[in-house]
Amino acid sequence: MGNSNKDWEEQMKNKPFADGSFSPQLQQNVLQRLEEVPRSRSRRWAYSLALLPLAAVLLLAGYSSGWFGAVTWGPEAAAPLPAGTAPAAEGGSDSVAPVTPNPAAEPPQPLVDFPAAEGGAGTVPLPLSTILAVPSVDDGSQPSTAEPPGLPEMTDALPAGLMGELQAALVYHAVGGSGYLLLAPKGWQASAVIGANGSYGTTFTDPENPQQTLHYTDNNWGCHGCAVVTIGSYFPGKTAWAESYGYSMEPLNFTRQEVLGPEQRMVRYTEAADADGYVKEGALYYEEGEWGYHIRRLEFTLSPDSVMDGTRDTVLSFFQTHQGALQLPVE
Amino acid sequence: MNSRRNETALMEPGELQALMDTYGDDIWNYAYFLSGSRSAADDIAQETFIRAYKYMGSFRGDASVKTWLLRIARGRFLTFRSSSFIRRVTLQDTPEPSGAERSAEEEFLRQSLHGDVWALVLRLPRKDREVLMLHAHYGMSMEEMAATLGLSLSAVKSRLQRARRKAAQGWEKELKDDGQQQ
Repeated sequence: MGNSNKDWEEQMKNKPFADGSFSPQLQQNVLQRLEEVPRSRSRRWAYSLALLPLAAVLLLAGYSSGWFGAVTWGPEAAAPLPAGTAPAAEGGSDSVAPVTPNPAAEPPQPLVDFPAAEGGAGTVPLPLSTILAVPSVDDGSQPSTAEPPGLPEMTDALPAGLMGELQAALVYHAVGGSGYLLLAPKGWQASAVIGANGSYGTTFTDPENPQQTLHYTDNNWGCHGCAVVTIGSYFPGKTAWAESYGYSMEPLNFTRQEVLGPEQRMVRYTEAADADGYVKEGALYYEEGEWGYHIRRLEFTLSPDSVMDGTRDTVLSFFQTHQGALQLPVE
Repeated sequence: MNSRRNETALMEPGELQALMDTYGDDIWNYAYFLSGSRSAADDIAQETFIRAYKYMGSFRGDASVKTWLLRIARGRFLTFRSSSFIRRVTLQDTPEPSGAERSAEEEFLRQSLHGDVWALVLRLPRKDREVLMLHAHYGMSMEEMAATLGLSLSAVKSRLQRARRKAAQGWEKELKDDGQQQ
């Protein structure tokens, strides 16, 4: 594979097409269009001058008929009404009438369909939460794309019995609009951040027990040292390798460590319970590139009385399948 | 050309001609790989040189002329894409490309494309083929790509890594298929 990879990249140095893609005719068109610019500019001025008297007549007619007086100008014309109020009835007074919010009018939470796992019928619809990731360093100067990316058709089969236990969470970046999708326990509240070095993450918190969390992180190729320490800590047999970089490792106390995948870059782990009985269980995946290590990790912190085996397994298996979150690039 | 220019300096017509002779094909090829359409590539490449002529005064020489032109071309492509989206959405009677047009495009590719690798690149998603082209064909550095694509350095690395992996998988499959046919 090594040699063949070099082959294709080497071949990309050649031109895709023979010379002359940008033909002499196209070059001629460019020169002609540049010659036309001054003419069209003078034509625009001529049209503007001709339309000026017409605009003046229209303005005069508008003011003298009083029509302009009936129109609200300025920002107040576009200002939204205060919450909990409705616009005055047509032809009524200027006052606004309070209205009681109607819970039935709340838009329903969108659903995203997953195929049912073997033995299940049809699809498994999950509620979809949409979360905007907030940059930790933001001077407000970046343009913001308000639209989250679209979702592809879901192909991960889920057990139908988990229909009421899970949510799909779409996290997207305000700048650039790309995003990713994770599964999480239903009802857990999410917040997402983007670090100054480009790393990003999402934390889901159980509202009934905030100590129970699900934490996703992607280092986005940043922090080489942290990556080496993480790999050395979580992958059995990598401790000596990490220490060869000069880092001293503090061993974690695992009750389960299973390295998975043909390249042995995915690990599923469970740490021993802490003093309060809380257990960390997660999955970690890394890629190696010429510029460092790309690490993605998903980790539950669960209370001693947590009973969510199916949910936990499905959430971690989704991560395992996609070697991280399901990436949703903007196209 | 790389030297700093006067803010108000305009290009001489002869200079524009030289620019088109030197970089015309590069810009057209980039536009084609972004848009996947010859007519769009024609428009984008022409617009690129018109804008280069108009805005030569703003060229600071902090990137090579080719990189500067590629950035303009990318801007023209994004404008083209958004306006063609508006046309598709608002003008219901705008005809979709007919089967004949599609096959003409395919025929053009079959006859003109040099080497299997380019056919493979064209089959990749736009973002992947773009980052591969900028890196492997145009030889841009990571920093130049980050500036051109409006991404952070780490995001560019990540995108390039993903694109390389996809291309390598596709290439390996191609080699395997060829081996089976022989």
